[in-house]
Amino acid sequence: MIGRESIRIDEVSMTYGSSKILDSVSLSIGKGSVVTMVGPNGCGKTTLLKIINNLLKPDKGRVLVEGMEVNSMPSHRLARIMGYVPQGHRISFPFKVRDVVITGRMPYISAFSSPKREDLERTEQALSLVGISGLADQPYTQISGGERQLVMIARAMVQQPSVLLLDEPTSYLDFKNQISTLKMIKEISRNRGVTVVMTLHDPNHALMFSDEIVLLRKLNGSREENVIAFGSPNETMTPQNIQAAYGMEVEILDVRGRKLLLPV
Amino acid sequence: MYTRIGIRAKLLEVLRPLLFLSRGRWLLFFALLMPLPAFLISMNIGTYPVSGLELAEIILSRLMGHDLRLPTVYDTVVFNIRLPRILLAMMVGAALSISGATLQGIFRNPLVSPFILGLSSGAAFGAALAMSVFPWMPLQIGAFAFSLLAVGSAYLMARSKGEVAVISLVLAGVVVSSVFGALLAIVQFAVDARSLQSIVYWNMGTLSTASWSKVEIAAPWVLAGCLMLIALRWRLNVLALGEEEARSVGMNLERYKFVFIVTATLVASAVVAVAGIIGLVGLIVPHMVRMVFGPDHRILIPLSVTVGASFLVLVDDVARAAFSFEVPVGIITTLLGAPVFIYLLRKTRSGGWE
Repeated sequence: MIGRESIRIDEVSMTYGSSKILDSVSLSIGKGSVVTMVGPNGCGKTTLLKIINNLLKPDKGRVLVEGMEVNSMPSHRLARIMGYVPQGHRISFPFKVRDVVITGRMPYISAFSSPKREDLERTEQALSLVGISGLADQPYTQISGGERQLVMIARAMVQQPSVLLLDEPTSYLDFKNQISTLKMIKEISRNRGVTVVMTLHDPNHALMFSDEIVLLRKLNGSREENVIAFGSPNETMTPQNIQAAYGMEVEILDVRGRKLLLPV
Repeated sequence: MYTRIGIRAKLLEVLRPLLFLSRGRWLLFFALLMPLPAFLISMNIGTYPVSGLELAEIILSRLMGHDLRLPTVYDTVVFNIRLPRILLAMMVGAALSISGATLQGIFRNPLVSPFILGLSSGAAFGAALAMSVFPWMPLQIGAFAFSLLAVGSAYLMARSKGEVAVISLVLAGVVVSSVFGALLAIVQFAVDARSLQSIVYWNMGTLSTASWSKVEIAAPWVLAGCLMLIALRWRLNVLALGEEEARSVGMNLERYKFVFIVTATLVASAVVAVAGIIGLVGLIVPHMVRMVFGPDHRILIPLSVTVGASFLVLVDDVARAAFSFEVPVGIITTLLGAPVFIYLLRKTRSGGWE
């Protein structure tokens, strides 16, 4: 399932004002894998996600997606390859859910035209893919935070991307919806061969749903590297690595063949 | 080759969508065709009422060159007074509404007006200069040039590293408005009483000085701008969802923002130049359309044109015929618009700014 390289991050550095967020980060992400970035607040995981999507330009380094450099690609080409789901999205106008999702067809629609039948059909498919066909005519402003998250995933899916980026997809969801959304994301990746890169706050979620985990630390002017570990969940989520990332002690429990992190 | 029945069947097929339109579709048709009844009603209002039939007769007699059965004063009233005024009112209403709707989409805020970037203050200053200090300068050119200058400088002030943040634009607009307000005050302070009077009167916004030449000045800008905005209208939906959201689906954000701001500004400046500052039309009309048809710009933008045209021509009917003297139409639109603004402000809580 996990084949050749989908995303390559090459010595990416990023500074906000005087504080260095990312220092020469390099990663290679395989096609069709689910990769989660985990780390404390301010470790630069969202920044890295935005750099991958060319929403931010790094000070140094480059990002290649399917062999092409993201910041030299025409924006509509990039948007056909990559979908992005922002964190906690709000809008001022009560657009219908369907009208929000269909904006994901933007990279396929030429400047002076509007969505056509095909775009509408793909929108309906995406709505049913994430299980919200019933919400199509609801105003986006009147649905719950969890439903909005699904709308934005559907919007990214109508871009027909081979890479899906998600920034904290569970942040506004309740206990059950966190799990069901992550399950769905993983299913999308498995069924369609979509590469998923997401950031998550909860290391246990990362353990449960990732093929690989990137564990990041916050730079404190030291010479340490951003990336503490990058690899399979079992390799990366060790008590030592967690200690290095968060500065806290955890115990690893084996429960029914699954690993669980427990703060001590 | 159709048989009789074949033709009838064909006809039914064409008409069916019309006959079985849903309620929403009927409303849509009504809103699209509204300028027509508004035009006919307005023709009929005034000292010399002209009905639809009489209008047809007057126009035909001109076209065919045969004698008119009505008194010739009707011909004069229609061609020299009422037609230019009605057309100008429609154009101004359409332009201010489409401009307002567009900027509201870009700013993602229903409270934004076409004048948010300093357009009206610039125009007022330019017009005042033309009326007093530089009498050689045509009034319309002065107003037009300075309104563009005002918006242009707000845009450049807000621009940094090739990006224009919406909140910076708003603040730059505030500053530019104040600066041109102060410059206007200098002119008003310095000129004689008669010039002062005309400056103040211009600022109120009126259509009473309508003429064919004013229609001709504004028409090309309004027409071209409206066509452009109608062609690009779906992109406003993409933009209205947020800037990062728009960029992540591949929109060249700064380019589109530039195109939308320039077009909305040209359209509004052209009509402000010929009619003065007619306030809050750009707020009321898009709001009314949104209340009935929702926020989708694919519908909102074209309907802003037709509803805006109808709205202002009808309000102008009130301005010219409801009282024994003529009221500047800008005063009426502002008084009508204020409650709408307050309603929107209450409804959106923080005023829509995140």
